[in-house]
Amino acid sequence: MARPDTFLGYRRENGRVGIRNHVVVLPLDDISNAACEGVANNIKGVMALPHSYGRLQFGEDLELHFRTIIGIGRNPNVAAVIVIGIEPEWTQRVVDGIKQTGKPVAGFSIEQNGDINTIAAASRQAKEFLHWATELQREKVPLSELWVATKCGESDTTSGLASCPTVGSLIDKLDPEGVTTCFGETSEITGAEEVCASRATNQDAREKFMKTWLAYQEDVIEAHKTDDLSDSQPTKGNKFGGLSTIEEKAFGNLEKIGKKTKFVDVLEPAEEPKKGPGLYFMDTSSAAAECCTLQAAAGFAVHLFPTGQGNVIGNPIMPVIKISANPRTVRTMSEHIDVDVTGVLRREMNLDQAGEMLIDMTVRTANGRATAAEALGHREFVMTKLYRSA
Amino acid sequence: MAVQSDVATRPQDRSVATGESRQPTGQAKQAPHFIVHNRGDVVGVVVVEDVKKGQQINGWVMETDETITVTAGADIPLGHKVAIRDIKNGDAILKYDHDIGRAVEDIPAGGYVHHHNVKTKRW
Repeated sequence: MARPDTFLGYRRENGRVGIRNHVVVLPLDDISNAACEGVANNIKGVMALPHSYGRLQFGEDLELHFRTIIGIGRNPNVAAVIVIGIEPEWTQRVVDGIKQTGKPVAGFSIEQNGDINTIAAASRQAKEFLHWATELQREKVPLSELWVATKCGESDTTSGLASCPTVGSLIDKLDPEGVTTCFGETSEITGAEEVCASRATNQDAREKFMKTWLAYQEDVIEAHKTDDLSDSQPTKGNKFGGLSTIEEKAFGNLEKIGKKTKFVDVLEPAEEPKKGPGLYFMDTSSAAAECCTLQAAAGFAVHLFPTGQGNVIGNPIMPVIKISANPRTVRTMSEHIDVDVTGVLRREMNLDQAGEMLIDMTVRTANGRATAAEALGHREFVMTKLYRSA
Repeated sequence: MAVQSDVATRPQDRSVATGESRQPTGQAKQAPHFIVHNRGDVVGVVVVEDVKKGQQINGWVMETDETITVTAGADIPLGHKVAIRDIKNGDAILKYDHDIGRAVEDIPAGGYVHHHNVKTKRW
């Protein structure tokens, strides 16, 4: 069977293609969560995205907050957006950022209205958006229009042997087709940073990567560590799975970008790629929910998540496909796994075949198949916070 | 059971039975007890759940498609590492053809290799 070179997606006003068709109710800040959830209770089929931040942030941390919230609204998996904030000015800033895509968006603020009136007004608008969005149709588009992010979690040695290289195989196969892809996890590249840097397409990207990695070492690790980090990296789960050192974990992690694909640029957290198709490195935490949220905010439509011991992460707007090569995990946590590559460890399947199998599942997911994480209701939406609020 | 698991286990296979009844496809080579990434590596990864001390175990070197054999010096859990040659205290542990840490004791071929006898060089 030939590899599919198209999928069925939703073409958005700005030309990007989504694989889901969500109407979301997006809180500007933590204290607007209740109103957003009220709207989602009233109007079946719209989704509230509660989160923990948005008040008294400043500087770079505030910029990241806006970039993340606006980016989630801009993501092509989102058809239309209701924004609710405590006050009108910052609410409007989010509305304006999303509006640039051309998609329907409306903002509501709570001060001088109260939750109940705000919920009533926003619910009426959400209902109109839902009627409109549910009439949109999928259309056939080239596979190159798919933006694919990746990150691994609860990794073990089977991740490095098979599930991460399966993603790597997909990236090596689809990079020449013009697909846009993204990896991150600044902390978990540690130990393999020189090898990672050597995978930059040019000197600029290489220097940008090393600068980002060094800044993480100095600003985060050296500034905040209380011990040598051996207790956190590798994690308890990683060690249970057989990983002994951060270096071993990093080389396994890096298998996700394949053998030959090179990255074209380094992105700030939640920054949208601007240099066309290709592989991008994003400066992210290695915590699954934070990393996935940042990649979704940058516009990625689908996520490939290799796991060893069985991380159960999902994302509210970006389907997360789980790949595992650990036979015990596949047996004991089968409801979480979309693609079982344990056959590689039994020599029944090679990585090339595993990569084709993952492409098939990625296209099926793009066409509409619900992932295990979607079926199980995993909607982890977690902001990255750079420092404490004022 | 009318509805079968939709977990993909083989290329283009959309209807695979669940769990224990899952059967491998044909042309399978002998399933290894452990796998070695690269020929220069000093460790392999156990990929079955029941390696016991004293058991002769066979390993597949992915890079060269060779099969090698060692005798397990300990019970080694799934996913954990076995030394495939004698390693001296202070030696670099090579995996993926790269240095992933240093041995802090002598480890004989077949020995269990983990954070009790390997330390990071980073922190």
